[in-house]
Amino acid sequence: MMKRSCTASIGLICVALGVLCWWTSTVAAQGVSGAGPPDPPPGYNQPAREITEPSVIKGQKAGIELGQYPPDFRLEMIQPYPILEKWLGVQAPKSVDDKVMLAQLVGKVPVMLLLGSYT
Amino acid sequence: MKALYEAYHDQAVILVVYIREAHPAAADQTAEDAGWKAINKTVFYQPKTYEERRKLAETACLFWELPIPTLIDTMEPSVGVTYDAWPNRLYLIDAHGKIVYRGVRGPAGVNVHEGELELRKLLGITSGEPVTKPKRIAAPSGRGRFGSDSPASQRKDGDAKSPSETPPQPSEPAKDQLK
Repeated sequence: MMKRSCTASIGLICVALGVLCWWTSTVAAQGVSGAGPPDPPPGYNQPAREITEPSVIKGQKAGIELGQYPPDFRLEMIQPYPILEKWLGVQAPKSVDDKVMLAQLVGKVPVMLLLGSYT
Repeated sequence: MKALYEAYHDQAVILVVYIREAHPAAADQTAEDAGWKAINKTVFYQPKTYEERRKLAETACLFWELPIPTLIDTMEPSVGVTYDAWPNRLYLIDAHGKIVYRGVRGPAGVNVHEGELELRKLLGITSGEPVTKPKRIAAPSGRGRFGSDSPASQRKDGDAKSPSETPPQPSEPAKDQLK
């Protein structure tokens, strides 16, 4: 009788821990609590992503793996940057309403992209 | 990152794409109690609109006095998702338009020094010293340093981390990654 009670208690504790782990990971993933994004589990290899956007090089398949042509994008700037005139010439955006297209920048010199945010 | 930009902006295009916040303030936080997640009166909640993201990006760039051309990511679809970059990630594209370096995805992943070494290779720079310093990441549970000590060539596939290379969750996110 006592053994059965013990087994049931252990089972309940396991279930509770499982729920707690799931809740913690869900909340962290959503950033609701302001916590950071979770790291992938140890040894996790992310599957290759299927990219449907056009690549920076016309006619080539886009991808984000090494050796692939990255997907193109057109984004607005914080402000006009004079350095872009060096690379884009007359095509350089003149106001914040003009967008910068990655495909216009690649193919001449290396391009370094840092994607991130303040927090 | 500022130092890297100053050193190489004449030889390479260097851009920042401002994407989804990694560690936004909680909804009930105010400018008074949000700590570093607020600059002046601007609290860094997760933006719900493009205009909100633009305002945060402008505030952050002004705060950092960031000289690097900064682009604002769209909400949906977003470049951050397409590039699998959240919370942050560094990419290097060669002059032929191919990806030659993809850093480890954050939160502790961006390694500007590693990116600089790869950029120097692309530019054929062999003289002089890199302007950035190797990244130091606190190791969890008594393990030694890692990350910056690993050869860049071994870490090109940023996702293929072995268990011993999984970076720890920082107690406070690195606020100076773009500095």
